[in-house]
Amino acid sequence: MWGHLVLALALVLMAACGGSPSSQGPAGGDPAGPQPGQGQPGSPDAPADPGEPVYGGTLTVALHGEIDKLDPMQSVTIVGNQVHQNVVETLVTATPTLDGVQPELATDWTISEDGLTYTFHLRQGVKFHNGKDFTSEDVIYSFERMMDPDFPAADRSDMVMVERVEAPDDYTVVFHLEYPFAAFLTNLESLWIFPKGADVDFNQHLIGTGPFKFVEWVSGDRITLERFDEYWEEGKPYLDQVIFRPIPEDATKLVELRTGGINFAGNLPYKDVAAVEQDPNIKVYRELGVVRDHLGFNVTKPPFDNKLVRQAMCWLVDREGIAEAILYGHAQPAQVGIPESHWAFNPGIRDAYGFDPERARQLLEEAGYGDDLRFSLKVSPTYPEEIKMAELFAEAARSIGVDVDIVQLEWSTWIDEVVVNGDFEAEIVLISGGIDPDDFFYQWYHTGEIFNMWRLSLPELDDLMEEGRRVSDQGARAQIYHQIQDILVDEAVTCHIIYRESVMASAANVHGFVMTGREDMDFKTVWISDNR
Amino acid sequence: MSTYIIRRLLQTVPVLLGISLAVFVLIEFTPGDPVAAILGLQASPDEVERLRRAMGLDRPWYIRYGLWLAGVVQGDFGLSYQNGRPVTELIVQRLPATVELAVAAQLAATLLALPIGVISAVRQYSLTDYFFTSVALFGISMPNFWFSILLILVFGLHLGWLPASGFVPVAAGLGTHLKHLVLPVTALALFNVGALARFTRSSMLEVLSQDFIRTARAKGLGDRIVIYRHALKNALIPTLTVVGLQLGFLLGGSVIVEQVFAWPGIGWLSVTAINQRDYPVVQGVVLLVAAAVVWINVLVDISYTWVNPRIRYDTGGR
Repeated sequence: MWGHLVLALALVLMAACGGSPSSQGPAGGDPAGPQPGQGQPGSPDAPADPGEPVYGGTLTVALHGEIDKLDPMQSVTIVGNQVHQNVVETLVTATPTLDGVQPELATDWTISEDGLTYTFHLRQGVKFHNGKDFTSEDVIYSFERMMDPDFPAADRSDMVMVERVEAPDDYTVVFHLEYPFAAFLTNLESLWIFPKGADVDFNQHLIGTGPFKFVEWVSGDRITLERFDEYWEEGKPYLDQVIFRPIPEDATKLVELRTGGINFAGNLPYKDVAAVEQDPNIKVYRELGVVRDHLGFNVTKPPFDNKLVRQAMCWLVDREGIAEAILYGHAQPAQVGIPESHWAFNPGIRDAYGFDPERARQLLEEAGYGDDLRFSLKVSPTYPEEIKMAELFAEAARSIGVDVDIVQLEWSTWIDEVVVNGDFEAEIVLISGGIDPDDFFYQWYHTGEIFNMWRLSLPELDDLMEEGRRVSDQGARAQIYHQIQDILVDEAVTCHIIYRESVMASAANVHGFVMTGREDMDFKTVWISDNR
Repeated sequence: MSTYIIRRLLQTVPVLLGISLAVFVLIEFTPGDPVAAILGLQASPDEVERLRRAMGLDRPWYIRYGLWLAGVVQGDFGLSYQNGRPVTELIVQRLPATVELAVAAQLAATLLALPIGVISAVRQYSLTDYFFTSVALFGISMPNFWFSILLILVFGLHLGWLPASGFVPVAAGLGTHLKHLVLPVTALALFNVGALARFTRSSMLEVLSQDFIRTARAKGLGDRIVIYRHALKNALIPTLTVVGLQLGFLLGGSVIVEQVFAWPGIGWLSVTAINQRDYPVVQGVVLLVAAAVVWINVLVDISYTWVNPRIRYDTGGR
């Protein structure tokens, strides 16, 4: 009897917590699709005018996990980048709308007619955190560090087209390319600028020219940065300190945000966004970005060596349904990897594939498959939404007699099997990143590229992608990339599913944050007002 | 007695060797490449080979194991593949948090479970017994992931009494330090309280039904003396074994609780290391935890002599 009472109490407790705003599903109101191109911070309830920036305060940021390395040149994670971009800078940096570059440590530049010579004029009066003055020798040093074959640089391939670099004087740097490469400027974001002669292991103590300097990294607990008083941009930064805390559990992150334990969070889970937006003490930032999910096929073996079969599968993907049900409306249907807001996007393919199982069945019949098609679909629980997408897809496939066997693999194993060994038939995964159109195509679809996990090899496509890199006129490039998209959509090697919205949140008294579509956390312009 | 202790400690060496070898081989043959985890996939095959050679990963596994062992004997556990920091430094930085959590949780669990178990046994089949049994079953059945989040919601969000996550060193204030400790300790102690209470109860019941207890009662000894001096001391022996085992498990680092509470312990460290195929870190943590578990069991065995004077480990004749 007592036992039953205790059980009842427990159930009541659970129900009481279920009713709290923090654990409700999307509110009954308008879940709303994503608002493309909106870089403005603030939810609809934000105060109209926060006033003049105020100096001081500490921003405590929840990261999705522990960073891999302190040295940005060796780091391969998004969370790593979120920390690094506040400490180390580059010659140029992407604009917030991700459609070009803007000056950072370089003030202006010229490109030769033949596209082989880039001359940069460097910003003067810039200091590193260790007191050294920034000059062209630091650029040369950083470049050589990156290209040193004994140094494990993660993004070396971004600079392979550079034949040599020279510094005619202290504030000029000239890059000579082996061949014209239209994406060179955006690739320069990988060339992090370090001070020459620092004699310090950047993995233990990071030094750069950024608005914040590195203080300490307590493993598993926090990374602390503090304001760099001699930062080159007048009047910035505003914050005294930035503390990054890895909080992998979403529920914990949310509670910390609501109770003020942290005042900035990246990666808000989609199911909680609607509820959090109701909280007047929290601002939500949303931006449709460059994270996209796709269903991909290994084209070297049956059944997916047959284009008709691949196309059939594309008609079994319920993009709208997935965006609503799995991502709570924080996604937009996609046909290709490049976002619709991009200047090289081909509007002609916007409605290429829809959800039409009947059409899928016809295509399969044409390909010679009755209801005897079966294949495996490899996903990883590191991205739980992919598993749900796989399940929805498998259900649609089952309705026309196709048998899909969903295989879940731990992430490194997934990489091993799918990407490295090509031991798969179909997969669903998400991809992130890209500014120049080349980023969205060459490394993924060109013959022989490591990331071309589908083992696609189309000479016509290869030629177009190579041309796209060489040509510098934007109009001409757009035409080339339109053609590329036409081919890719027809080939159906990767059936894109959705573009995801990036969602971040901060306390209501945090101002000045500029959201980008690629999970940037640049706190240079952020300030905290007194009122919460 | 001291010969016994020395003998036991020496016996731990082959055990630890065996464990470290087994783990080394297991992780070696798990698919997934540490070099890929470091360089990302965009590295050319040349670069991958180069780094592989630089890290010594091109040598056969038994050679690498031998080299690692040679280093360990000198106190050098190598460098983390991921961030290049010495493994010993990483472990030293993360271990105290786990040890504190484990010891505090086990202490709390034991202090709660022993009285509950004893009372339940002494008042078997009473209302009190049923109540405590339910509590114990709750503890055993509820997943600690769910319970952790429940604690955070109730005490962190709704009541606002305690912080939701994180670790604050004692130097920053004993009060704040303890406040951060309460919830994770509660979550971690949940299962152990239940299991230990049930075990204590049945151990007590078994002892209480024995002849010598009936004799003691027949002699006219008061209930209190019978229970505490005679029964409990005997029931404690198996119970202490369980306490030791539970503490050993907790020292392995409760990954779930550490992740949910963002508690910077070695459980979380080892899972991240396994996912990244960071062999040196995995090896170091496993060896350390294995050593801790083994030595705790030695301590438990030694503590039997204190609990029950009739138990002796002298090599002298018997």
